[in-house]
Amino acid sequence: MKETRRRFEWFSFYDHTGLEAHLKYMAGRGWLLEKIGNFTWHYRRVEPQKLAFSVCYFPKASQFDPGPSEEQETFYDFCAHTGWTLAAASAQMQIFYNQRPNPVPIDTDPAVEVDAIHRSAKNWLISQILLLAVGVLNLVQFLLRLFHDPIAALSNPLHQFALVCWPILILLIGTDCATYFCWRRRALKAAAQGEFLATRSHPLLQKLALAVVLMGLAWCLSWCLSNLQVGMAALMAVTTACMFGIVFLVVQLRELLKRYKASAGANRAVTLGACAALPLVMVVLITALVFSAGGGGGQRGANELPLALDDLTDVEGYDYASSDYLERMESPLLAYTEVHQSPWRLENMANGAPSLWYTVVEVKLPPIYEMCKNHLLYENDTRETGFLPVKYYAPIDPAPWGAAEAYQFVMDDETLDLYLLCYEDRIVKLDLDWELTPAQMAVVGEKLGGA
Amino acid sequence: MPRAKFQTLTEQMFYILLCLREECYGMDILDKVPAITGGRVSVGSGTLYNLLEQFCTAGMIRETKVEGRRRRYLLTDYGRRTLDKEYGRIQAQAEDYRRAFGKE
Repeated sequence: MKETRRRFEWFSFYDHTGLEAHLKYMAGRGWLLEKIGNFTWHYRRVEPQKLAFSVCYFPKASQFDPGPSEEQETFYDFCAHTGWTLAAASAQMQIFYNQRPNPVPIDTDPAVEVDAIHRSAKNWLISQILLLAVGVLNLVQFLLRLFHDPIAALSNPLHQFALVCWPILILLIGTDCATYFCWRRRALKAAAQGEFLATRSHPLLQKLALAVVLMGLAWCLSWCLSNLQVGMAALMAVTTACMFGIVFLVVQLRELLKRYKASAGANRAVTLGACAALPLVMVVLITALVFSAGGGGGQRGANELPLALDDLTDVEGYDYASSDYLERMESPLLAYTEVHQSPWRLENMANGAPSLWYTVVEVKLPPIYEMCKNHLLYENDTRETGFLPVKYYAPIDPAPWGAAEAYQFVMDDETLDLYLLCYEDRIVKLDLDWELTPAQMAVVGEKLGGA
Repeated sequence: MPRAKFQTLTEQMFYILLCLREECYGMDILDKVPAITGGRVSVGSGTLYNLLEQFCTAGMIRETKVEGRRRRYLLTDYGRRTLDKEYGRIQAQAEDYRRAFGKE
């Protein structure tokens, strides 16, 4: 039979009423809280019993303290005098239990209790508000990216994960802070009448939201690992592992300093320093990794390209092999492929060797097709802005391309060999330096049209 | 805590200050208050700890002796005036009650 048990408990910092009821229920089932760990709460088996619990707050305590201060010990002495035994403590939160029937509560003055909770909640509120600000900034950044370049925003699975997770996080933290301030306002009014006001939080709702975020993360990672190029999937896996690693390292560092009895101030400075430095180190290492692996794209043999120059024209005598470039980004909504082939040596370019550049946007969610098409169609259009030269895409006959719609780029009334081809579920942007024949257009349609 | 907070005293504040007319340990107040009120009023340990700290900050009591974690406190003149003012307020309330119901 297990003698100890660990549980993940998610209660709002100030929700002492909910916590007291939960701990009383656990004791009734034979589990007494003995420690609040960094990630889980530890319980030990006891005889099932009816215990009174009191969650109170000691504003001067901090999570960086090497142990209880003398003032805190005095507070514990006061509590012990009325039968309250310390079960566990974490930073300002102090949890006591009492075996006496009808014990005198630890807090008997509601105004003093509300004041102690508010003074203790300041650090919690600051961290919540900072996290809220980071969440809002990330969301705004994503929305701006979506507005300016929807294809880049929607083809990156990490950006989409952010779109799902940040709003949930913002909602969770915002609700938590708002309910705290609501409770405080009402508790102060009640205290003026000499009454206590019970706290209310929604642990089930919070657990559900956390589960959604974790499931989203797990799904996103598994999707990346199975759908992306090996390099990109490895990069995402490494980044995610690094982020969890940083959280683990920072917590372990703080606990190590506490074990070595470092002062709260020194512990706070070192831990916060690590919080700032470790993500920087991670960014530097990952950037170095990406650059050493040859950047986001990669060189490919012509036979790996969806459409290569030798599918369209004779390239005998020119060296392309080492300059073939393919970059692919894929999310559940969109896949983006960029390819370019240009002659390797300058003398080849001077000899008029052909070059090819194209991007293929595969739209997996039909409602976003028009948005992607309009972005590509109008991103360089200067007719509305009045800037010179006048540039736009003009409609052309789509039939030779086997496309539903086709456009050719016009600059100062001169048509260029730059095309936008719209197929059922994909949009192709094709840039060449020679004029295609109808037969070559049909090859483009066949290779890139996805039919 | 702003001094305005103690313009009127709660019952618990009143009895804590009353106990400190004589020098005593903070913890002893936990037993003294129920004793002098016949068990009608009790002060919680957390409330007492916080109020002692706030009374000290407000200058209503002062620490007289520190023995390890045990500290003795005593009412100051300012604390006594606050207590007198509260007593006057309670008396005035009682007087108003008597007048309202014609009790002598």
